[in-house]
Amino acid sequence: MMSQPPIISLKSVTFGYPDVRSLALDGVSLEVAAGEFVAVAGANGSGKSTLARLFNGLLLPGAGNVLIDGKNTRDRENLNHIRETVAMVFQNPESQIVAATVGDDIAFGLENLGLPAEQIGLRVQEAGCRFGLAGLLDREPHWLSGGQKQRTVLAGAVAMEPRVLVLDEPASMLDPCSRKEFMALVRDLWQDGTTVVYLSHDMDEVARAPRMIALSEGKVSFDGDPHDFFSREGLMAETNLRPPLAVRLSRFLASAGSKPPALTLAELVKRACA
Amino acid sequence: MHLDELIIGQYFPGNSLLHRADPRLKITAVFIYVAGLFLAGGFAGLLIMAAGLLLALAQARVPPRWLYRSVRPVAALLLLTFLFQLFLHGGPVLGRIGPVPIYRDGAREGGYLALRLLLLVLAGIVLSLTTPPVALTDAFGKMMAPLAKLKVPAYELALMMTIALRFIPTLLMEADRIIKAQAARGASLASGGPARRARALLPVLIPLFILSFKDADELAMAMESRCWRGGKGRTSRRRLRLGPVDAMFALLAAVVVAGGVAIGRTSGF
Repeated sequence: MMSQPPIISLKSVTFGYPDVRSLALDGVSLEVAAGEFVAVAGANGSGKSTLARLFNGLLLPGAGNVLIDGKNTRDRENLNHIRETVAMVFQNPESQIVAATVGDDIAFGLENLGLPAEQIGLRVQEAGCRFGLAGLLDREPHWLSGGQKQRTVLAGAVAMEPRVLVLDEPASMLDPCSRKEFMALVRDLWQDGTTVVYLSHDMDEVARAPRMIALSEGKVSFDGDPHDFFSREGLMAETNLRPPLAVRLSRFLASAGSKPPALTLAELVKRACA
Repeated sequence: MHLDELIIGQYFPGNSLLHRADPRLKITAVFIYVAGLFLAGGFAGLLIMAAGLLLALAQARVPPRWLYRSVRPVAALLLLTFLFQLFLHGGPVLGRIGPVPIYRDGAREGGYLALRLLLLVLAGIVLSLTTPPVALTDAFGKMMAPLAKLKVPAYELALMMTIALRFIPTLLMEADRIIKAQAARGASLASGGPARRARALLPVLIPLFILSFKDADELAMAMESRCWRGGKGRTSRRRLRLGPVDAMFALLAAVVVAGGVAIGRTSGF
């Protein structure tokens, strides 16, 4: 199926948290090729965030191996290369901004890489322009909107020029407008060649990805085309995922002929959303 | 609390000599200024140093309202210092407050110590009003860098300061949210005696601590994922270089402190 070598490869990965009887991940095997856009969906507690943290070496598997660009995350000497290769953006931007200004926060990862000041300055400017933060580089984070904060975090991750971007429900705290804006930026990055792994429980976002992985109770229950997933009701019920609005609307319209017609627009909307 | 009321680390943007001077030089100047306040030994010296500070503030165009807001929290301490000295010293009687006599030496000593304390506080305030917090912590980090040879984690200490400053507004906002949520459920933080008020704070402090630990955990993870490995091998976006502005600032600061100390020690006033 994949023409390029996998940049992320998980082989029979198992992970459990201390003092928790059930496993967070149980025998997960998957591969992501360079340049792919993969959405990872799953209900709360399905193991999505644990999976994301394994990609960056923040967590190490209990059993099995995680290979990033062919390098095993278990080997501490590989960690720098792995973290330069895979950048992460988490859910809450407020607790990811380290520095006291937008510009300094974008520079944080670059400073950790030991780049010269001129190069850091250039990359900060570039990232600032790309993510609409050029005029806000000296602004303190508490004066930013939610969307601006999450763009700051994304800019900080992208400035490090990673090959893979792992986004763990990055838009869940944003308003609809900022969410749309953020998704457009992520799509642009993917089109420019960055591999994107997008974790979400918002099925409207997941449905837009070319490939989808569904997690249920720490296991991969589906890996393939979202069209295929959302046409299998049993699978959706098993994974506890609700189909996107468009799927529900299509189904409703398809079954509308067998029901008495809705007489008002409000009634139609009510039925479609049921 | 509204963010506008926050004084700690508050920066007043500008382009004055004070604003443009190297933060390392400004920190050093504040230390020397404070030492000067203790060496001056007389009113005349303090007045010269006060004049220097006021001129600098005027040149930086810091509005008096900002100064008032910054000094207000220590006003009670200044008054207490003055009153304490007022009744400790003797000398000729200047007047009376009811049956209590006011002695000249007490008024003089109280005024002297209160003015010295006020100038000490103002020097710190001037530094924070004219230097962005990030430049301050950066300067601290650079000034402490030689200590790394003695295994002092200089960079880590500077980063701790940055993070502490960075998270003050976040924690204030979170505390405000918790207070409002508790108030919506009938909690009252403003009524009752001190013991009751202290007890009422518990439902605010406990969730605030839990949130802080959660924030700290997430921040640590975000830092690690961005290749944080401590200060070793790290570079900096900001480069500090001394220039003509710094020379001018150093000269003026030296004149004010040296003038204040010299006149204070020789004038007898």
